[in-house]
Amino acid sequence: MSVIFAVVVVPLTLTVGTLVGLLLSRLGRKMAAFVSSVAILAWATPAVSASVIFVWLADPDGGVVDWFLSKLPTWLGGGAHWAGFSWTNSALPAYALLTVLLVWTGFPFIAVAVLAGLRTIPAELHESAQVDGGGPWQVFWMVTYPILKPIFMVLLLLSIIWDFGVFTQVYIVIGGLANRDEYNLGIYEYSRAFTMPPAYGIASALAFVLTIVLLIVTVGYVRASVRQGAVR
Amino acid sequence: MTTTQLTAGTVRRSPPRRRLTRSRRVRRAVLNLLALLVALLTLFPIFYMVSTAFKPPTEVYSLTPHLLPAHPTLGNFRTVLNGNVIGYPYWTFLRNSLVVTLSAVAASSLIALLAATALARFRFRFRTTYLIMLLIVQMLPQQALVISLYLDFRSLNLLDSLVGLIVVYTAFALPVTIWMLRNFVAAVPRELEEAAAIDGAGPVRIFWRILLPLVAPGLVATSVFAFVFAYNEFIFALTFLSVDAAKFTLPLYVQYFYGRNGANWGAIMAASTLFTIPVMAFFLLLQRRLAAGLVAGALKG
Repeated sequence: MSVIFAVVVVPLTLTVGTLVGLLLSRLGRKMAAFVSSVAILAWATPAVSASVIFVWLADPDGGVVDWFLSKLPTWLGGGAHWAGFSWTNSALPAYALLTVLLVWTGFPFIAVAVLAGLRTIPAELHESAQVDGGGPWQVFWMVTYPILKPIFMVLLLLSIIWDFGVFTQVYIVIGGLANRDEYNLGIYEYSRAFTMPPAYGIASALAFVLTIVLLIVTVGYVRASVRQGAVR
Repeated sequence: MTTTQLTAGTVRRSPPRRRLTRSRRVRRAVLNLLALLVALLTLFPIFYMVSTAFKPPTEVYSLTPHLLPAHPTLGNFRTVLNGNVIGYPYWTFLRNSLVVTLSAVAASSLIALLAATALARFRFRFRTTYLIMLLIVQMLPQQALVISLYLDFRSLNLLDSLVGLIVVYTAFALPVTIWMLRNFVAAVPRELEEAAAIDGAGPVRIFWRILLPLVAPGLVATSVFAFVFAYNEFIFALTFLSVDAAKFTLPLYVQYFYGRNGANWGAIMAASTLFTIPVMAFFLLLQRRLAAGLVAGALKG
């Protein structure tokens, strides 16, 4: 569950964040300031609040998401069967909700970092690429991406670290430790230690596995940092 | 700043071709529209939280949700502040959170300042090793460490106590704060200290009179980081404060309130609003410096 979830959420967050970062770099000053302020609000929302808000948005009675989906025309997948749909009762919808939640909280950081990186690239590079007939897609992959590659690597590793063992959001969205089939690795490990009877040994072993997996990613992160000359 | 200069530059270069400027204007409108859409989608959850907090129960459960409350009420906030649900008013939890957070901020700032000075000013064995260790430690998942720390703190009798949380939060904030502060200390020119030393100031005096005022902006940045971390932290609060509701910090309170009071969304959103607004105000006030600093801090380590 943790692996699949990270595989879905990390690229999604990176893509959305990068797109917003590119968008921000093309806006006028006022609009860019406005959008980044709004993004910072999403970033500043504590994990607990964000989770509670999204559970409320997706609430079967009175939540906005179900209401909106039930009003959508049928060809868009909407319809009355969405009314009263519970997002938190089974694993797949719960993790769909968690995906949206984590992308929402995660993309501002990526966007701001990508924007900061974009500002270091001289405009002439992009212009000359355009003059040479490169479309936006080509310009991004042939010019922007190679230059910002170190930043993307670090952001990728950080996102994996953040999303792989995510705990707080999952804990709140699946409503504590009651629904076993909605566990991810972090929650499973926690539940072994802190539900009766406590199995600290097994839980610690799981914690160890979690740590090792993340340490492998961390090694990549540290190497990227050392290569950027951060350790001096 | 940079964007305006860049766009100004591109616009100035294009005038000879009139049609291009017009298509540029169209593109700009499309971009602005897109930006507005992104902003609205991003803002919506927060906006809806605040809006729900002001809605009376009949509107919260109405079958067609409305953006704004038709009859705004403070009833939800009254429920939260009076503590009808858990037995303690909001102020208890706010006080707990502030005690824990401010103590952790003070402790971690002091320790980090000393450590950062040592790292930036002195060469010693294993210095690089220490720096890399900081990077690694910073990445350790909290939910993996919580079990062993829980057992340790149980034998130390520090469960259900705010002191235990202060210790944990201080320790967890340290790697990042040391790392960030190190850059600020390194940016202070050594000559200033040497000049002070020639004028007869001792090391302690140099530290307090020269270094401290110059790294003050850095201290503000790291304090904000530590503050936000400790104020929002959930796993340790959940694990260490499981029994005594009077000791709950705000995030735990919001979660508990939501768990206990599953259907009263108006009040839950009011609690969540009261918990969230201070952090947001903080971020918006310090936005410029903070965003750049945090990003730089995270990207460099």
